[in-house]
Amino acid sequence: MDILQLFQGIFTLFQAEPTIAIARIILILVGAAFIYLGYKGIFEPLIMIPMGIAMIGVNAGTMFLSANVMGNLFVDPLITDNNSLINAMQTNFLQVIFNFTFSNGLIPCLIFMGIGALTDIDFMMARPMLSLMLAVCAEFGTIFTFPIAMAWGMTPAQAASISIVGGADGPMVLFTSLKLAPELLVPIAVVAYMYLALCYVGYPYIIQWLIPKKIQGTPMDLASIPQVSKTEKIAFTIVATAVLCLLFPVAAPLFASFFAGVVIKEANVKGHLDFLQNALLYGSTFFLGFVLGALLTADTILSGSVWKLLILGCIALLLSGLGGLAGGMIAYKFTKGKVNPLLGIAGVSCVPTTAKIAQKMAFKSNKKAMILPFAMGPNVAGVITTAIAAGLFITTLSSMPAITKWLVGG
Amino acid sequence: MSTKAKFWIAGIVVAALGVLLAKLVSPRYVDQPGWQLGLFLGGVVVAIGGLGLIMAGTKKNKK
Repeated sequence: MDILQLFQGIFTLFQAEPTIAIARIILILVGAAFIYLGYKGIFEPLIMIPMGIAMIGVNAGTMFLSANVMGNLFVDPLITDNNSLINAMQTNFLQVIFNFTFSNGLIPCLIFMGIGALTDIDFMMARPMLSLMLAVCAEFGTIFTFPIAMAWGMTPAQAASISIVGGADGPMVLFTSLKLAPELLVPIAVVAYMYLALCYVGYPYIIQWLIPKKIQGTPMDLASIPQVSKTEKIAFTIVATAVLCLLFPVAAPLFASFFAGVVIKEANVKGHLDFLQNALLYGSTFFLGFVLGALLTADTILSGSVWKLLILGCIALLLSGLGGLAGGMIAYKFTKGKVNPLLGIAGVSCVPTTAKIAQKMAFKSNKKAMILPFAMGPNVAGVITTAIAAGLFITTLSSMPAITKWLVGG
Repeated sequence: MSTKAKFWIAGIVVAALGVLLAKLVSPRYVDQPGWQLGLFLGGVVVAIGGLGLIMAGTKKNKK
Protein backbone atom coordinates (compact mmCIF):
# COMPACT_ATOMS: atom_id res chain seq x y z
CA MET A 1 0.00 0.00 0.00
CA ASP A 2 1.30 3.40 -0.99
CA ILE A 3 1.98 5.48 2.13
CA LEU A 4 0.31 8.43 0.40
CA GLN A 5 -2.98 6.52 0.43
CA LEU A 6 -3.07 7.02 4.17
CA PHE A 7 -3.21 10.77 3.53
CA GLN A 8 -6.03 10.97 1.03
CA GLY A 9 -6.06 14.75 0.86
CA ILE A 10 -2.54 14.63 -0.62
CA PHE A 11 -3.07 11.36 -2.50
CA THR A 12 -6.06 12.76 -4.39
CA LEU A 13 -3.92 15.69 -5.55
CA PHE A 14 -1.78 13.22 -7.49
CA GLN A 15 -4.71 11.18 -8.72
CA ALA A 16 -6.77 14.10 -10.05
CA GLU A 17 -6.19 15.97 -13.30
CA PRO A 18 -3.37 18.53 -12.91
CA THR A 19 -5.72 21.49 -13.42
CA ILE A 20 -7.97 20.27 -10.60
CA ALA A 21 -4.98 19.68 -8.32
CA ILE A 22 -3.54 23.13 -9.04
CA ALA A 23 -6.97 24.75 -8.55
CA ARG A 24 -7.31 23.00 -5.17
CA ILE A 25 -3.94 24.30 -4.01
CA ILE A 26 -4.79 27.82 -5.23
CA LEU A 27 -8.14 27.71 -3.43
CA ILE A 28 -6.43 26.65 -0.20
CA LEU A 29 -4.11 29.65 -0.52
CA VAL A 30 -7.03 31.95 -1.40
CA GLY A 31 -8.88 30.66 1.68
CA ALA A 32 -5.86 31.53 3.82
CA ALA A 33 -5.74 34.98 2.17
CA PHE A 34 -9.45 35.54 2.94
CA ILE A 35 -8.85 34.73 6.60
CA TYR A 36 -5.86 37.07 6.76
CA LEU A 37 -7.68 39.91 4.97
CA GLY A 38 -10.74 39.38 7.16
CA TYR A 39 -8.57 39.40 10.29
CA LYS A 40 -6.93 42.64 9.13
CA GLY A 41 -10.36 44.18 8.49
CA ILE A 42 -9.72 44.72 4.76
CA PHE A 43 -12.46 42.20 3.89
CA GLU A 44 -15.68 41.69 5.85
CA PRO A 45 -14.54 39.29 8.61
CA LEU A 46 -18.02 38.00 9.47
CA ILE A 47 -18.28 36.30 6.07
CA MET A 48 -14.69 35.93 4.90
CA ILE A 49 -13.18 34.19 7.92
CA PRO A 50 -15.67 31.27 8.03
CA MET A 51 -15.62 31.17 4.22
CA GLY A 52 -11.82 31.00 4.12
CA ILE A 53 -11.55 28.21 6.69
CA ALA A 54 -14.23 26.15 4.93
CA MET A 55 -12.42 26.65 1.59
CA ILE A 56 -9.23 25.30 3.10
CA GLY A 57 -11.06 22.40 4.72
CA VAL A 58 -13.00 21.31 1.65
CA ASN A 59 -10.12 21.60 -0.79
CA ALA A 60 -7.58 19.96 1.49
CA GLY A 61 -10.04 17.34 2.69
CA THR A 62 -10.86 15.77 -0.67
CA MET A 63 -10.89 11.97 -0.48
CA PHE A 64 -11.99 8.85 -2.32
CA LEU A 65 -15.67 8.26 -1.53
CA SER A 66 -15.61 5.03 -3.52
CA ALA A 67 -13.06 3.34 -5.79
CA ASN A 68 -13.08 6.04 -8.49
CA VAL A 69 -15.16 8.86 -7.06
CA MET A 70 -13.48 11.76 -5.33
CA GLY A 71 -15.43 14.06 -3.07
CA ASN A 72 -15.63 15.45 0.45
CA LEU A 73 -17.66 15.08 3.62
CA PHE A 74 -18.84 18.70 3.62
CA VAL A 75 -21.67 19.11 1.11
CA ASP A 76 -22.73 18.01 -2.36
CA PRO A 77 -24.90 20.76 -3.89
CA LEU A 78 -25.69 18.87 -7.07
CA ILE A 79 -27.71 15.98 -5.64
CA THR A 80 -31.23 15.84 -7.03
CA ASP A 81 -32.17 12.21 -6.41
CA ASN A 82 -34.05 11.69 -3.12
CA ASN A 83 -32.26 8.50 -2.05
CA SER A 84 -28.84 9.97 -2.70
CA LEU A 85 -29.87 13.07 -0.76
CA ILE A 86 -30.89 11.03 2.28
CA ASN A 87 -27.56 9.20 2.14
CA ALA A 88 -25.66 12.47 1.75
CA MET A 89 -27.44 13.97 4.75
CA GLN A 90 -26.09 11.16 6.86
CA THR A 91 -22.51 11.57 5.68
CA ASN A 92 -21.96 15.22 4.67
CA PHE A 93 -22.02 17.39 7.75
CA LEU A 94 -23.26 20.55 5.99
CA GLN A 95 -25.76 18.81 3.70
CA VAL A 96 -28.70 19.36 6.05
CA ILE A 97 -27.89 23.06 6.40
CA PHE A 98 -27.49 23.43 2.62
CA ASN A 99 -30.74 21.69 1.75
CA PHE A 100 -32.88 23.11 4.55
CA THR A 101 -31.57 26.69 4.57
CA PHE A 102 -29.91 27.40 1.19
CA SER A 103 -31.97 25.49 -1.35
CA ASN A 104 -35.26 26.88 -0.08
CA GLY A 105 -34.06 30.48 0.34
CA LEU A 106 -34.39 30.43 4.14
CA ILE A 107 -30.93 31.79 4.95
CA PRO A 108 -31.33 35.05 2.95
CA CYS A 109 -34.62 35.60 4.75
CA LEU A 110 -33.07 34.99 8.18
CA ILE A 111 -30.30 37.45 7.38
CA PHE A 112 -32.88 39.94 6.16
CA MET A 113 -34.74 39.68 9.48
CA GLY A 114 -31.49 40.49 11.27
CA ILE A 115 -30.69 43.38 8.90
CA GLY A 116 -34.23 44.72 9.35
CA ALA A 117 -33.77 44.62 13.12
CA LEU A 118 -30.61 46.72 12.79
CA THR A 119 -32.07 49.19 10.28
CA ASP A 120 -33.18 52.71 11.12
CA ILE A 121 -35.77 53.66 8.54
CA ASP A 122 -35.93 57.17 10.03
CA PHE A 123 -33.33 58.60 7.68
CA MET A 124 -35.01 57.19 4.59
CA MET A 125 -38.41 58.48 5.70
CA ALA A 126 -36.96 61.85 6.65
CA ARG A 127 -35.74 62.49 3.08
CA PRO A 128 -37.70 59.97 0.99
CA MET A 129 -37.32 61.53 -2.46
CA LEU A 130 -33.55 62.06 -2.17
CA SER A 131 -33.05 58.56 -0.71
CA LEU A 132 -35.15 56.83 -3.36
CA MET A 133 -33.61 58.84 -6.22
CA LEU A 134 -30.07 57.96 -5.12
CA ALA A 135 -31.04 54.32 -4.56
CA VAL A 136 -32.52 54.08 -8.06
CA CYS A 137 -29.38 55.65 -9.59
CA ALA A 138 -27.31 53.09 -7.68
CA GLU A 139 -29.25 50.32 -9.43
CA PHE A 140 -27.61 51.21 -12.77
CA GLY A 141 -25.50 48.08 -12.54
CA THR A 142 -28.56 45.90 -11.98
CA ILE A 143 -30.40 47.50 -14.90
CA PHE A 144 -27.62 47.64 -17.48
CA THR A 145 -25.82 44.38 -16.71
CA PHE A 146 -28.98 42.49 -17.64
CA PRO A 147 -28.85 43.30 -21.40
CA ILE A 148 -25.05 42.90 -21.40
CA ALA A 149 -25.34 39.41 -19.90
CA MET A 150 -28.08 38.47 -22.36
CA ALA A 151 -26.01 39.72 -25.28
CA TRP A 152 -23.21 37.50 -23.95
CA GLY A 153 -25.37 34.43 -24.41
CA MET A 154 -26.99 33.99 -21.02
CA THR A 155 -30.67 33.17 -20.62
CA PRO A 156 -32.87 35.96 -19.18
CA ALA A 157 -33.05 34.08 -15.85
CA GLN A 158 -29.26 33.68 -15.63
CA ALA A 159 -28.71 37.28 -16.76
CA ALA A 160 -31.09 38.55 -14.06
CA SER A 161 -29.35 36.46 -11.39
CA ILE A 162 -25.93 37.94 -12.13
CA SER A 163 -27.31 41.46 -12.72
CA ILE A 164 -28.69 41.61 -9.19
CA VAL A 165 -25.07 41.63 -7.94
CA GLY A 166 -25.28 45.33 -8.93
CA GLY A 167 -27.59 45.82 -5.95
CA ALA A 168 -24.65 44.75 -3.73
CA ASP A 169 -26.94 42.84 -1.42
CA GLY A 170 -25.71 39.30 -0.76
CA PRO A 171 -28.94 37.73 0.56
CA MET A 172 -30.81 39.17 -2.42
CA VAL A 173 -28.33 37.65 -4.86
CA LEU A 174 -28.77 34.26 -3.18
CA PHE A 175 -32.54 34.53 -3.25
CA THR A 176 -32.71 35.58 -6.90
CA SER A 177 -30.30 32.87 -8.06
CA LEU A 178 -32.23 30.23 -6.14
CA LYS A 179 -35.49 31.28 -7.76
CA LEU A 180 -34.24 31.91 -11.30
CA ALA A 181 -30.98 30.09 -11.96
CA PRO A 182 -30.30 27.47 -9.25
CA GLU A 183 -27.67 25.88 -11.51
CA LEU A 184 -25.57 29.05 -11.08
CA LEU A 185 -26.27 29.55 -7.37
CA VAL A 186 -22.82 28.52 -6.18
CA PRO A 187 -20.65 30.50 -8.62
CA ILE A 188 -22.90 33.59 -8.48
CA ALA A 189 -23.02 33.56 -4.68
CA VAL A 190 -19.26 33.21 -4.44
CA VAL A 191 -18.63 35.93 -7.03
CA ALA A 192 -21.12 38.23 -5.28
CA TYR A 193 -19.64 37.84 -1.81
CA MET A 194 -16.08 38.19 -3.10
CA TYR A 195 -16.95 41.45 -4.82
CA LEU A 196 -19.00 42.72 -1.90
CA ALA A 197 -15.94 42.19 0.25
CA LEU A 198 -13.95 44.22 -2.27
CA CYS A 199 -16.42 47.15 -2.29
CA TYR A 200 -14.86 48.56 0.85
CA VAL A 201 -11.50 48.63 -0.91
CA GLY A 202 -12.60 49.58 -4.44
CA TYR A 203 -15.27 52.26 -4.06
CA PRO A 204 -13.02 54.81 -2.27
CA TYR A 205 -10.75 54.79 -5.35
CA ILE A 206 -13.72 55.46 -7.65
CA ILE A 207 -14.74 58.35 -5.40
CA GLN A 208 -11.21 59.77 -5.43
CA TRP A 209 -11.04 59.59 -9.22
CA LEU A 210 -14.47 60.99 -10.00
CA ILE A 211 -15.50 63.43 -7.29
CA PRO A 212 -13.47 66.64 -6.90
CA LYS A 213 -11.73 66.62 -3.52
CA LYS A 214 -13.09 70.02 -2.50
CA ILE A 215 -16.71 68.84 -2.65
CA GLN A 216 -16.10 65.41 -1.09
CA GLY A 217 -16.22 67.02 2.33
CA THR A 218 -19.41 69.05 1.72
CA PRO A 219 -20.94 69.43 5.20
CA MET A 220 -24.62 68.72 5.83
CA ASP A 221 -26.81 70.21 8.54
CA LEU A 222 -27.78 67.51 11.05
CA ALA A 223 -30.47 69.77 12.49
CA SER A 224 -32.27 69.65 9.14
CA ILE A 225 -33.26 65.99 9.66
CA PRO A 226 -37.01 65.93 10.39
CA GLN A 227 -38.21 63.66 13.20
CA VAL A 228 -40.57 60.78 12.39
CA SER A 229 -42.73 59.27 15.13
CA LYS A 230 -42.58 55.55 15.97
CA THR A 231 -46.30 55.12 15.27
CA GLU A 232 -45.86 56.50 11.78
CA LYS A 233 -42.86 54.27 11.13
CA ILE A 234 -44.83 51.19 12.21
CA ALA A 235 -47.83 52.26 10.10
CA PHE A 236 -45.56 52.83 7.10
CA THR A 237 -43.96 49.40 7.61
CA ILE A 238 -47.40 47.77 7.57
CA VAL A 239 -48.46 49.56 4.35
CA ALA A 240 -45.09 48.95 2.62
CA THR A 241 -45.16 45.22 3.49
CA ALA A 242 -48.70 44.86 2.16
CA VAL A 243 -48.07 46.83 -1.06
CA LEU A 244 -44.74 45.16 -1.90
CA CYS A 245 -46.02 41.64 -1.13
CA LEU A 246 -49.12 42.29 -3.24
CA LEU A 247 -46.92 43.44 -6.12
CA PHE A 248 -44.30 40.69 -5.83
CA PRO A 249 -45.70 37.55 -4.16
CA VAL A 250 -42.61 35.59 -5.26
CA ALA A 251 -40.35 37.94 -3.32
CA ALA A 252 -42.79 38.22 -0.39
CA PRO A 253 -40.57 36.11 1.94
CA LEU A 254 -37.80 38.72 1.57
CA PHE A 255 -40.05 41.75 2.14
CA ALA A 256 -41.88 40.10 5.04
CA SER A 257 -38.58 39.11 6.67
CA PHE A 258 -37.01 42.54 6.30
CA PHE A 259 -40.03 44.44 7.56
CA ALA A 260 -40.53 41.90 10.39
CA GLY A 261 -37.10 42.98 11.65
CA VAL A 262 -37.96 46.67 11.14
CA VAL A 263 -41.30 46.50 12.93
CA ILE A 264 -39.84 44.53 15.86
CA LYS A 265 -37.17 47.21 16.22
CA GLU A 266 -39.67 50.06 16.05
CA ALA A 267 -42.10 48.32 18.43
CA ASN A 268 -39.09 47.66 20.71
CA VAL A 269 -39.97 44.01 21.40
CA LYS A 270 -36.81 43.48 23.43
CA GLY A 271 -36.67 39.67 23.49
CA HIS A 272 -37.18 39.31 19.74
CA LEU A 273 -34.93 42.25 18.98
CA ASP A 274 -32.04 40.79 20.91
CA PHE A 275 -32.55 37.42 19.20
CA LEU A 276 -32.75 38.89 15.66
CA GLN A 277 -29.83 41.31 16.06
CA ASN A 278 -27.49 38.80 17.63
CA ALA A 279 -28.11 35.05 17.60
CA LEU A 280 -30.09 34.92 14.35
CA LEU A 281 -28.06 37.41 12.31
CA TYR A 282 -24.64 36.24 13.43
CA GLY A 283 -25.61 32.55 13.30
CA SER A 284 -27.01 32.89 9.78
CA THR A 285 -24.04 34.94 8.58
CA PHE A 286 -21.60 32.40 10.00
CA PHE A 287 -23.29 29.48 8.27
CA LEU A 288 -23.69 31.49 5.08
CA GLY A 289 -19.94 32.11 4.94
CA PHE A 290 -19.04 28.60 6.02
CA VAL A 291 -21.34 26.84 3.54
CA LEU A 292 -20.28 29.18 0.71
CA GLY A 293 -16.66 28.32 1.45
CA ALA A 294 -17.49 24.61 1.46
CA LEU A 295 -19.17 25.02 -1.94
CA LEU A 296 -16.07 26.63 -3.39
CA THR A 297 -14.35 23.54 -4.74
CA ALA A 298 -12.02 23.24 -7.71
CA ASP A 299 -14.85 21.85 -9.89
CA THR A 300 -16.92 24.99 -9.30
CA ILE A 301 -14.10 27.39 -10.08
CA LEU A 302 -13.17 25.53 -13.25
CA SER A 303 -16.70 25.47 -14.66
CA GLY A 304 -16.88 27.54 -17.83
CA SER A 305 -19.34 30.12 -16.56
CA VAL A 306 -17.29 31.41 -13.63
CA TRP A 307 -15.07 33.76 -15.64
CA LYS A 308 -18.10 35.23 -17.36
CA LEU A 309 -19.76 35.73 -13.97
CA LEU A 310 -16.61 37.33 -12.55
CA ILE A 311 -16.57 39.90 -15.37
CA LEU A 312 -20.32 40.56 -15.26
CA GLY A 313 -20.33 40.85 -11.45
CA CYS A 314 -17.53 43.41 -11.67
CA ILE A 315 -19.38 45.38 -14.36
CA ALA A 316 -22.58 45.34 -12.27
CA LEU A 317 -20.93 46.71 -9.13
CA LEU A 318 -18.87 49.24 -11.07
CA LEU A 319 -21.92 50.60 -12.92
CA SER A 320 -23.91 50.78 -9.69
CA GLY A 321 -21.14 52.73 -8.00
CA LEU A 322 -20.87 55.10 -10.99
CA GLY A 323 -24.66 55.48 -11.16
CA GLY A 324 -24.86 56.25 -7.45
CA LEU A 325 -22.13 58.89 -7.68
CA ALA A 326 -23.79 60.41 -10.76
CA GLY A 327 -27.02 60.63 -8.75
CA GLY A 328 -25.06 62.20 -5.89
CA MET A 329 -23.61 64.85 -8.23
CA ILE A 330 -27.07 65.62 -9.63
CA ALA A 331 -28.40 66.05 -6.07
CA TYR A 332 -25.40 68.27 -5.23
CA LYS A 333 -26.02 70.51 -8.25
CA PHE A 334 -29.80 70.66 -7.77
CA THR A 335 -29.55 71.62 -4.12
CA LYS A 336 -26.75 74.10 -4.86
CA GLY A 337 -24.23 72.27 -2.71
CA LYS A 338 -26.48 71.38 0.24
CA VAL A 339 -26.22 67.61 -0.39
CA ASN A 340 -22.87 65.84 -0.21
CA PRO A 341 -22.41 63.97 -3.53
CA LEU A 342 -20.89 61.00 -1.69
CA LEU A 343 -24.38 60.10 -0.46
CA GLY A 344 -24.77 58.56 -3.92
CA ILE A 345 -22.37 55.73 -3.20
CA ALA A 346 -24.49 54.86 -0.14
CA GLY A 347 -27.36 54.11 -2.51
CA VAL A 348 -25.50 50.90 -3.33
CA SER A 349 -27.25 48.85 -0.70
CA CYS A 350 -24.35 47.07 0.95
CA VAL A 351 -25.62 47.96 4.46
CA PRO A 352 -23.87 49.65 6.18
CA THR A 353 -20.57 49.36 4.28
CA THR A 354 -21.26 51.92 1.55
CA ALA A 355 -22.66 54.44 4.04
CA LYS A 356 -19.47 54.03 6.06
CA ILE A 357 -17.39 54.55 2.90
CA ALA A 358 -19.26 57.80 2.21
CA GLN A 359 -18.59 59.00 5.77
CA LYS A 360 -14.94 57.90 5.69
CA MET A 361 -14.21 59.73 2.44
CA ALA A 362 -16.10 62.87 3.51
CA PHE A 363 -14.23 62.90 6.82
CA LYS A 364 -10.93 62.52 4.97
CA SER A 365 -11.37 65.83 3.17
CA ASN A 366 -13.28 67.69 5.89
CA LYS A 367 -12.87 66.71 9.54
CA LYS A 368 -16.18 68.38 10.39
CA ALA A 369 -18.28 66.56 7.76
CA MET A 370 -20.78 64.25 9.46
CA ILE A 371 -22.86 62.67 6.70
CA LEU A 372 -23.42 59.13 8.06
CA PRO A 373 -27.04 59.72 9.22
CA PHE A 374 -27.85 61.18 5.78
CA ALA A 375 -26.06 58.30 4.02
CA MET A 376 -28.17 55.74 5.89
CA GLY A 377 -31.26 57.05 4.03
CA PRO A 378 -30.17 56.00 0.51
CA ASN A 379 -28.51 52.94 2.04
CA VAL A 380 -31.80 51.61 3.45
CA ALA A 381 -33.70 52.76 0.35
CA GLY A 382 -31.12 50.77 -1.64
CA VAL A 383 -32.09 47.59 0.21
CA ILE A 384 -35.71 48.18 -0.71
CA THR A 385 -35.01 49.09 -4.36
CA THR A 386 -32.77 46.03 -4.74
CA ALA A 387 -35.54 43.86 -3.30
CA ILE A 388 -37.93 45.51 -5.76
CA ALA A 389 -35.51 44.84 -8.63
CA ALA A 390 -35.22 41.21 -7.51
CA GLY A 391 -38.99 41.00 -7.24
CA LEU A 392 -39.37 42.48 -10.73
CA PHE A 393 -36.92 40.02 -12.23
CA ILE A 394 -38.40 36.99 -10.46
CA THR A 395 -42.00 37.98 -11.17
CA THR A 396 -41.53 38.82 -14.84
CA LEU A 397 -39.21 35.94 -15.64
CA SER A 398 -40.86 33.17 -13.63
CA SER A 399 -44.56 34.07 -13.74
CA MET A 400 -44.83 35.77 -17.14
CA PRO A 401 -43.51 33.32 -19.74
CA ALA A 402 -44.59 35.56 -22.63
CA ILE A 403 -42.14 38.23 -21.45
CA THR A 404 -39.25 35.75 -21.27
CA LYS A 405 -40.08 34.60 -24.79
CA TRP A 406 -40.28 38.19 -25.97
CA LEU A 407 -36.90 39.03 -24.38
CA VAL A 408 -35.16 36.18 -26.17
CA GLY A 409 -36.83 37.23 -29.40
CA GLY A 410 -39.07 34.16 -29.67
CA MET B 1 -58.21 67.14 7.87
CA SER B 2 -54.49 67.65 8.52
CA THR B 3 -51.96 67.78 5.69
CA LYS B 4 -50.32 64.66 7.09
CA ALA B 5 -53.60 62.69 6.94
CA LYS B 6 -54.15 63.90 3.35
CA PHE B 7 -50.70 62.63 2.37
CA TRP B 8 -51.38 59.27 4.02
CA ILE B 9 -54.74 58.82 2.29
CA ALA B 10 -53.38 59.97 -1.09
CA GLY B 11 -50.38 57.66 -0.71
CA ILE B 12 -52.50 54.61 0.10
CA VAL B 13 -54.87 55.36 -2.80
CA VAL B 14 -52.00 55.84 -5.28
CA ALA B 15 -50.26 52.67 -4.02
CA ALA B 16 -53.52 50.72 -4.39
CA LEU B 17 -53.93 52.06 -7.95
CA GLY B 18 -50.40 50.92 -8.74
CA VAL B 19 -51.10 47.45 -7.40
CA LEU B 20 -54.30 47.28 -9.46
CA LEU B 21 -52.47 48.38 -12.59
CA ALA B 22 -49.71 45.81 -12.11
CA LYS B 23 -51.85 42.89 -10.95
CA LEU B 24 -55.18 43.37 -12.70
CA VAL B 25 -54.63 45.43 -15.85
CA SER B 26 -51.22 44.13 -16.92
CA PRO B 27 -52.23 40.41 -17.07
CA ARG B 28 -54.97 41.30 -19.61
CA TYR B 29 -52.23 42.02 -22.14
CA VAL B 30 -50.71 38.56 -22.01
CA ASP B 31 -50.65 38.41 -25.82
CA GLN B 32 -48.70 41.67 -26.05
CA PRO B 33 -45.64 41.18 -23.83
CA GLY B 34 -44.37 44.72 -24.44
CA TRP B 35 -47.57 46.21 -23.09
CA GLN B 36 -47.77 43.64 -20.30
CA LEU B 37 -44.25 44.49 -19.12
CA GLY B 38 -44.83 48.22 -19.55
CA LEU B 39 -48.04 48.17 -17.54
CA PHE B 40 -46.52 45.99 -14.85
CA LEU B 41 -43.51 48.30 -14.50
CA GLY B 42 -45.82 51.33 -14.61
CA GLY B 43 -47.92 49.83 -11.82
CA VAL B 44 -44.81 49.20 -9.73
CA VAL B 45 -43.61 52.79 -10.22
CA VAL B 46 -47.04 54.19 -9.29
CA ALA B 47 -47.22 51.96 -6.18
CA ILE B 48 -43.74 53.02 -5.07
CA GLY B 49 -44.77 56.62 -5.73
CA GLY B 50 -47.66 56.04 -3.32
CA LEU B 51 -45.23 54.82 -0.66
CA GLY B 52 -43.12 57.90 -1.39
CA LEU B 53 -46.16 60.14 -0.78
CA ILE B 54 -46.74 58.46 2.57
CA MET B 55 -43.11 58.98 3.53
CA ALA B 56 -43.26 62.60 2.42
CA GLY B 57 -46.26 63.09 4.70
CA THR B 58 -44.58 61.73 7.82
CA LYS B 59 -42.22 64.65 8.42
CA LYS B 60 -42.98 66.73 11.47
CA ASN B 61 -41.38 69.23 13.83
CA LYS B 62 -38.39 70.36 11.84
CA LYS B 63 -35.69 71.03 14.39
